[in-house]
Amino acid sequence: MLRIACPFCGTRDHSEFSYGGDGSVNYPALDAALEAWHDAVFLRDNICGRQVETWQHVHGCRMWLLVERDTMTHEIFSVRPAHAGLATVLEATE
Amino acid sequence: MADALSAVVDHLVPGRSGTPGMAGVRFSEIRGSTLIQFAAWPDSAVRAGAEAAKAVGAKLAPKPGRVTTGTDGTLLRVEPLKWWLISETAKAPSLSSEAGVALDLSQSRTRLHVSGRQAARLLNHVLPLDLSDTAFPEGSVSSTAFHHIGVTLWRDGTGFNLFLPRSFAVSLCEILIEIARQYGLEIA
Ligand SMILES: [Zn+2]
Repeated sequence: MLRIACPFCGTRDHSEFSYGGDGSVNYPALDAALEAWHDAVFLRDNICGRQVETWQHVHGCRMWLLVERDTMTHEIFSVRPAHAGLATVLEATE
Repeated sequence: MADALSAVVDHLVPGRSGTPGMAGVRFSEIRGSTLIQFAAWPDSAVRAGAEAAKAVGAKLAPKPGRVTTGTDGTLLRVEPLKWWLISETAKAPSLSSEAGVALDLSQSRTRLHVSGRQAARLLNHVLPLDLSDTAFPEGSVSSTAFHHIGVTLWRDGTGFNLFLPRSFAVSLCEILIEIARQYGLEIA
């Protein structure tokens, strides 16, 4: 089982998270060419090794996270909030 | 909210069941308090937290995973951008939409109090959390999942408060009662 160290909740079980997909995709501008949107939505590298993924801690803090994970070994190298501003919000309220 | 109808009154029948001897687990439904959610925007968390703290008469809003008690109630930081205010007396304040949203959730959750020597052990049949005294001490709160249903757990001085979404409460209580019998169950 995967365990993910949520920056807001601490280490939690896989069962609390849902997978969001490739976290490295840069989506084009809304008025970009159809081909650019086609590639962003449908074309994926099938990486064997380290990749950045989005996960949502849906049964926890409900925050979206960027998780750097090895698809071969499941080793997790880093977890950070997908919304960069949230880390500072937490510091300000503690 | 004293007139709120219980979702589990027919299932939490007072009495003693399961393994004889001293009851390892005690259940009781806590009713009659108000539950108000304060939800903030990412850039208004400080303001919404301050409003929530004011509403319970506390100096500071708690950080994620922690609980603060003020003169008029208790404040649970259930998510980074959400607080739950639990009170017998406090009223829902009107927040400006720039600061966040205050919403009365009193009728939406069934609050089950679980205590006794085996309370943490019982909950660990269904919750994927470390409930040891060091990892989850008194004053901790956590949003988690119980049979794929999102639930909220708060440890107070006498045990655990489990907030179950109302429409799932009967089903989840049945599961807990079934498991609790092996530890000796007393329902108050
Ligand atoms: Zn989390």
